[in-house]
Amino acid sequence: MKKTVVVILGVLLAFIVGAILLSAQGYHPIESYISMFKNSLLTKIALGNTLARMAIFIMLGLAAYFGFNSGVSNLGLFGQLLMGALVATLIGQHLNASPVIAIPLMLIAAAIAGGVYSGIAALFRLGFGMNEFITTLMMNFIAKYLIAYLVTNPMRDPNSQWPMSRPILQSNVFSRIGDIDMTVFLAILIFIIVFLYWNFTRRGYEFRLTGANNLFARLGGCEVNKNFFSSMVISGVLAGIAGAFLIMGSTQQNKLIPNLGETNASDGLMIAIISGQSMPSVLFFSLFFGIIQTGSVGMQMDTNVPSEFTVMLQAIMVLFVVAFRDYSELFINLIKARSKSRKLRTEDHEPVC
Amino acid sequence: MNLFVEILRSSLASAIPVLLVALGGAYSFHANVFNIAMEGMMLTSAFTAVAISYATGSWVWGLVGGIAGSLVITLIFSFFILKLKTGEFITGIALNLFTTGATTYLLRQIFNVKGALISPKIVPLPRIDIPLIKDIPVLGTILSGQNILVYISLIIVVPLVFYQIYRSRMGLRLRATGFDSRAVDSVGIKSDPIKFQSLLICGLLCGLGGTALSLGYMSLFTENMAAGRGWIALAIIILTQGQPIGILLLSILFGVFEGVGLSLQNVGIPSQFTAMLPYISTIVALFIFSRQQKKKKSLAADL
Amino acid sequence: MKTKNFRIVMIIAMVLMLLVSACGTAKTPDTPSDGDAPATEGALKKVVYVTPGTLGDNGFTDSVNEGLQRIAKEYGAEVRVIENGFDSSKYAQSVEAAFAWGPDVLFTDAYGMEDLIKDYSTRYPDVKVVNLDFVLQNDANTINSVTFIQEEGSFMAGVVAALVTTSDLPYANPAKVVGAMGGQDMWVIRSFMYGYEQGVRFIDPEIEVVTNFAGTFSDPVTGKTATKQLFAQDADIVFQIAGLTGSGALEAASEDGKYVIGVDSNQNGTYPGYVVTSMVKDLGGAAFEIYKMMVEGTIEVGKTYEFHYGYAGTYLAIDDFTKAILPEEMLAKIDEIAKKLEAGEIVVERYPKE
Repeated sequence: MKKTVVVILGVLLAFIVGAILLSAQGYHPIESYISMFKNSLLTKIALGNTLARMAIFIMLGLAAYFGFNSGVSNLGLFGQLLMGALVATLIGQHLNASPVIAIPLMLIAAAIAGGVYSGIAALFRLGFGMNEFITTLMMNFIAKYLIAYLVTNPMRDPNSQWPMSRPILQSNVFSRIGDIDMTVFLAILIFIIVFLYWNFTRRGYEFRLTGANNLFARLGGCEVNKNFFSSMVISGVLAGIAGAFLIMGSTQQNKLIPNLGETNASDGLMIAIISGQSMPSVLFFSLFFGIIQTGSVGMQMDTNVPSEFTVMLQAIMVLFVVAFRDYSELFINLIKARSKSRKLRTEDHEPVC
Repeated sequence: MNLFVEILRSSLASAIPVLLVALGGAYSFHANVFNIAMEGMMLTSAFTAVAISYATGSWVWGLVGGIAGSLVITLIFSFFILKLKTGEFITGIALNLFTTGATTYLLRQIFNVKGALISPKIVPLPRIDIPLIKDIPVLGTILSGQNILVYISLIIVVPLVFYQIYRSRMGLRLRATGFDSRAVDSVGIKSDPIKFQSLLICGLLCGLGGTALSLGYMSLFTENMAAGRGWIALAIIILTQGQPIGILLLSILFGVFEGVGLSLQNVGIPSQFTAMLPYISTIVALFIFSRQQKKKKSLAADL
Repeated sequence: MKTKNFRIVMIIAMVLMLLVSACGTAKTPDTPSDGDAPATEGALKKVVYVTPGTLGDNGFTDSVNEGLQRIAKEYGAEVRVIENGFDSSKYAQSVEAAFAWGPDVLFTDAYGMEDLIKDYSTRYPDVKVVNLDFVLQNDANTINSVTFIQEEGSFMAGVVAALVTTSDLPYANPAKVVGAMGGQDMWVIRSFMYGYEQGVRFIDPEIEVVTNFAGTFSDPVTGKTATKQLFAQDADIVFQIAGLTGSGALEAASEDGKYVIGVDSNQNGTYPGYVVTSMVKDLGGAAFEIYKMMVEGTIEVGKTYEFHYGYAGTYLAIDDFTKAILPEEMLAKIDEIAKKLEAGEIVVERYPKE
């Protein structure tokens, strides 16, 4: 809970710095912030959009979180997301079956595609000792150009001048409950499953252990290599599902386009970084990023604050929270040590060096 | 001028930014600091170099500005990992995301342009014709008339880095720190200042690299201009284990791959696939390198 | 300890929520939610442009924005641009925000958000919706579309390139080769090249056209390398069709001492002496003209307006920079061909949709 306070302090400070930036440029900071929240939460449609965005962030944040905290540097969320989206699109365009069959099938196939793509990088690492963060990163570029090729050539929608695929069948798009997309409920459900797995299973414990101390985990009898592989694949699976959400969500475009989810993937990384070692924070920051980004457009309409301000705000927030989190620990330990030594000194009347 | 010569010529020029950044990264590699903020350092210096050159109308100040911009990010990075003891990996990624946002935002707010800053007021680095080499047919076209940082890098920086890492006392301490920082601490040399020193040099070289990109090869700034070149530099460092000569060769090789990739379109390969080439070749290079490492290890085990 | 901190968090959260809701209600009155703004002499005061891309592409989006700024200046309209950075997960909320703002006129290039625009334009019949660059129509048949024939402008670019390469201008070489450098390999860019090649052949069928694609619209570094390769293949003039990537092409020409033709907006002044002309796709002009027709009440709702060669369509920007490079008789010849094109005596073949 100490950490929660620190995180909230970091967020508030980022908002204050943001406010200074805004007023330096002649915008009214409070009015702008109010507009941001108003336009992301207070109308039904805006709320629906915010939550749908949150759903994507939960999947990607979770994917990155899972990797980082089990000692896997998976920077390939973007590529894995694209692979998931690609498979979901291919099935969604052609499978004219009952949604009860089609939708789960698309999700599972997308998950597998994401998992396979990250699994390749994991095999590179295990088989040949190739650093996974470079291979995943390079595989992002490869996936990006592959998608660009597919949607300009074989998969192109001939009615469109710009490269994009045909949309998936309308029956394969998620439905809504009220204004809330099904992906939101699914994302929360998946979050709960992953949370339980992470905290209450033996494998989850091993993941956490490996993330905290690889050597210790190995000495303690964990199959580190096997865990590395599974953790990488699970991370890819989550990213692949995010890709499927981007294709199948009712607020989405339901077609494959180049650059699909590129910014979302880096937002996912940010969310994982800012969440540190607390999985519930992923949920909180996913919502939070959803609010900021959804609200930014309305804010631009109301107050003329350029929407790229939010990029800056997010970046400042990440820096502040990271600094606060790690330093506060150091700081608290320092104070503890001081007070202890003072106590010792007063008891023993002897200087402690 | 035929295509082949042109590919070599522009590969050399476009390899220099990557080369400089990778040489900088060699220092932090040897100090065992995992510096993935290089992409951000490069991007920042590309921006400040152009901004200062634009404001002052002088490439010298532009160069200084480029280095200063990179050093600011280096100081933040060092402060975080050495003072606040944050994780290098996380801090690096956070800084990269931060610099992308910050340069975009500043570009739009200061210059009131979006996307790119292109202006005749930006004074690029001067190009130099080398008197004798200039007249040699093929070699002259490739080597002569490049911008000044190309020559500085090849003639001064590479040898200097080589000397400093392998032949100087500082290099010894640096590599010792990277090998085991506690051991260095125990003989009375503080490892943190050495790490800081190595990061500063890294920042300086990344600053030169960013400047070589925005004021050397180009004379403009665009959003997210580094476009993954910092990552390629990082891959090169890992491949060469921070050896300056290896870095030099691989950087140029990657430059050539970029050029060859584009020209492969002439034989009918779709542009999306030719654009993949640098990234695929990185993976392939990593693969070959790792196989060799493995062989060496198993040889060592046999002995 | 745990509960205490938790309470603090809850209190902060509640205060925040209160603040938001309280101020939220206070703020609503001055944002007219429906389109019943008092009509000041039939003027259309609120104009919004929703683009899937971003401003700063030195081309498409910037050109539309220029037109909007002209509307703001000449008609005193309030203008907003909503950018999405090609982030498709943003489109829904952007379109929502745009319509909720209560605009009188909404411009868009609805690539990737066709269904959204159709849906909202039916739900908000008071908003006049104009789609740029391709035909889009809703069930109520209320959307105006604007299309361009980029093959015509590119044809003229090809004419200029062919005249330059066969001339004895200072940077022209004897080889009969001209180049074209595209951003991404896609239908629109191919249609530019298709028109360009026709223009080249119109002057001299023997001229060879060499092309390549940088693979991106946002990396001038690659654009420069790609253009230099075209120059190395003996092209002495290159038509760049690459957005921001194309700024690399302009630089390459000035560095190597070759000629280049700009695209989308007038880039003649960027490197005087090297940028021969620019093939302008005048989206801004078209947007302005459509707006003017709306104000004057001459617009036909639901109609598609096709802008041919010339102002508000695609045309070559011939200005003092051009005149400083090209000799008089060449300019006269270009003008003559352009007139024939406008009169319909020359018909440029359209790039097939496949």
